[in-house]
Amino acid sequence: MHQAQARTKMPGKDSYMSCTHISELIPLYISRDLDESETEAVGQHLLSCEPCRSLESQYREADSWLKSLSEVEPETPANGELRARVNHQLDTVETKRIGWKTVVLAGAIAAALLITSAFALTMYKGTDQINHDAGSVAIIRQEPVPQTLSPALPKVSRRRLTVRLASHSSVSRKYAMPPFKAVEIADVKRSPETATHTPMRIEIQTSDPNIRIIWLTDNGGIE
Amino acid sequence: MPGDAAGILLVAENPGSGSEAVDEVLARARSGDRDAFNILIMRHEQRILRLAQRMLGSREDAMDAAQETFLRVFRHLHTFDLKRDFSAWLYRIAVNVCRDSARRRKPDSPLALVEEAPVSERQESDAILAQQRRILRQALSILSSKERAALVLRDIEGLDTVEVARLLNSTPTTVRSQISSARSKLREFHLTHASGAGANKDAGKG
Repeated sequence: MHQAQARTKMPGKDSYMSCTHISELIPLYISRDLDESETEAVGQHLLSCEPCRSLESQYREADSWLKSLSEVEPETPANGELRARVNHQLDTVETKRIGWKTVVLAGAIAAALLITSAFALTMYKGTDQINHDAGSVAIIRQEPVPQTLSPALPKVSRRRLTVRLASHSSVSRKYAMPPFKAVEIADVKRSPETATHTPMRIEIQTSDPNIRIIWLTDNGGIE
Repeated sequence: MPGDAAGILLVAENPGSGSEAVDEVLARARSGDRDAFNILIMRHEQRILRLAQRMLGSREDAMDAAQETFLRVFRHLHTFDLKRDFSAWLYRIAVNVCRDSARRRKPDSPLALVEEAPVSERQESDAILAQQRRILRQALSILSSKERAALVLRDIEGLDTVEVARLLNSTPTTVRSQISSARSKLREFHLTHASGAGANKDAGKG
């Protein structure tokens, strides 16, 4: 900043603006970014202050120089490069979205096939036998029965956990519908009553409250 | 510019029928038509790249910002009101992307401009243009990111102070302060580098 400090009175005000203050306003003065009173004060100051006029000139030259440089277009990418990059990103996002949907769809189809197959298998086997693979039924009563009933009682396969109601085929078909499930035969075998090879009458409540199985073991208990 | 885009651009610049053609492309792009969206990119990419390069400095950063700008536009285009000025909307998104990008850099430090794309510059037929670009990059690199954003929008893009403040989510007073500071730095840079031996020295670096 130059040493000779001129002072300019603000129009309509009692305050004065020094060269230091004026020099701070010049960057905005050149682009008319000052309010009216400031613009007038700077203009008056510049009329009488050579150093500040020189400073203003430097700002204007720098401003023109910057604008002239800005007229030169920046280096641009090869034609289509930006579009290629944008489209690649969009394609990637789309592929991911499609991939996710495909996985979900495939999973749903597989699950549907699995459920259908399991249901069909259950229906098929249910026509002549009942599978018992889970413990969703409860033995609600087991008690000895008279010896005279034993020859006609159904057979039980302990290994396969299957109740075979050969002599009650009509009942079997009726009850072999889901959610008819399992009976834990091992519990029957381990019970004190079956250990004595006494014919048993066992009532089994399935998971369907409307279905109850009346099961009579033969003289030898559980096979 | 490829022929199809240029053709549409000519139609768009033809008074009377232009607005309909522009709206049609925009409406198609808005409904998800990728071809129409590519036409929009072709139409605006130069301006967006130029802005991004001014605000960010390096060509690669500018490419990233321009790419992000158009991706954001594509994602939100379905919400765009066709009665509004698409160019202004796009421009505002680009400024926001550039601001976000600049913010991710080191805070309170001038943007470091990488001496970039030497291959491209070697292929530049006009060495003077390449030199001018380099000098401009160097000049802008001495500014802080906020000073640069304000100066680029005000002095290079030619927006008024109020509009610059609006785009930068700032106030006119703050923007004026940033512009004043930026011009002071550029005046000194100009005195030092852009005349006499300083300019020749810079030219020699190329």
